[in-house]
Amino acid sequence: MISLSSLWFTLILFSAPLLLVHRTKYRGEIFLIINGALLLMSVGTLQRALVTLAWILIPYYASRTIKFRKYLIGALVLGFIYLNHYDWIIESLGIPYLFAFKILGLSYILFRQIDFILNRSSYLKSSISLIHYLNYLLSFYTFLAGPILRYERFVEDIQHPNDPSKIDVHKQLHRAMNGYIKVFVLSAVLSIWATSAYRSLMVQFDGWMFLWLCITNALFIYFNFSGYCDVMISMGKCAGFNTEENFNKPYLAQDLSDFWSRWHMTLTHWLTDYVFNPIVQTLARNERFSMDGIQVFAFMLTFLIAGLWHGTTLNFLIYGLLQGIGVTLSKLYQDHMIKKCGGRKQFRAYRQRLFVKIFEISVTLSYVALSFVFFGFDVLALWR
Amino acid sequence: MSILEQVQVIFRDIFDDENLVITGETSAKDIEDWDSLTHIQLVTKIEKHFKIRFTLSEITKLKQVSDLILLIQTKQT
Repeated sequence: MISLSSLWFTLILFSAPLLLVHRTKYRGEIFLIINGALLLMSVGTLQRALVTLAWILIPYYASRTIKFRKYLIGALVLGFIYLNHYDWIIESLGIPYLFAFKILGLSYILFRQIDFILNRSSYLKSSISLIHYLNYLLSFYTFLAGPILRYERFVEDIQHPNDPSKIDVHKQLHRAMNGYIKVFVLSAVLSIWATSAYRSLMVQFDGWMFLWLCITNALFIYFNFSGYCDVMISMGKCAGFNTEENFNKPYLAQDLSDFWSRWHMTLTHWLTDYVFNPIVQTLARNERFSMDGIQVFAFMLTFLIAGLWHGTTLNFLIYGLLQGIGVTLSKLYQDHMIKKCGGRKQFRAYRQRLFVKIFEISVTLSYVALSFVFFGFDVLALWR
Repeated sequence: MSILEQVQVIFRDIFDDENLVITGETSAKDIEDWDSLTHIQLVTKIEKHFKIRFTLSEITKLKQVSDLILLIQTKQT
């Protein structure tokens, strides 16, 4: 139901601005009715509804006690692994699946919950309410695929929405239409090409066909995801939400760490704040480890977690590992080049040269396209 | 040495720039290399130097040098 191709969803998407920007006093309540109705229509069975309700409500009340918060997050992560059916973990431990109903949008709900729980004690009292919390988790603008909002910023958007008269609605609608074209024209065609390439690879492996799969799949993921974000961000703006941007010309990145500062940016920020930084901070307190070593370890672990968060199969584990290796390599390259060029400034100037730029962008893009195949397709099955 | 001067020494070391001058208003916008990687390096170095510890939400909320100095001051007292 919560999909761009659903008629109901499209109707809600285009009528929500009218409902949300005029009665700002009841903005939170109206938004909750819309989000709740959409969730009810998509939840399916009663059991799934009950599991979803428990998953959402228990952390809200349990996180009131500060000392429970760490255990709560641990329990949520374990619950996530269980409910999302990570078979290679759960089955190898011999645990049976009882009441393991998949919750819609659980990956994003989990990350938003962690943000809320970890920062709860620093929020203003007036900004903590069940309505805000529910809207934050279930906001249909970001429910299925991000961008990953932060609670504080989201509450700010509910309490003090953008002045609708100052929004260039024309510009936002234009962007939304471009988003629709990206999703339903460009990525639809690319998806057909990529899928047929994968099917022919299943019959017989061929290097050129694999290259074609890499190209079409990388373009498909970009157009599909960034198009979806274009629609959601621009329509959200019309309803007074200042949703963060998620893409900044990612395929023009000059190395992999540059790439991750341009691709799915809100995820990168989330991972930096809640995975990478805590690892570095904790390990840096131990004098035995060097900063370089700590960072490499933290890159690998962070991207491994990012990979597994995206999906349950081993393909996502490899995808995460490849990102970790890529970011590590780009850091080693940067360090080496800074020394060789005689400083950071000189290295920046060197990277601005046209040939260097073209070379770095091509290498980065090739690496990304190769690693993204593991994201889009069961590549491991090709070797089985 | 004032806190700002001590922090400046750490900034110069991390950003590898002996002539770097910071003020309270200096933020990531003013220093090109101030990204998430150098940010956490700054934080851990400052933690060590002043023998203090920052929490996760404190680190994410640091936007400019004056926030950092204020935080160091509150942690030290």
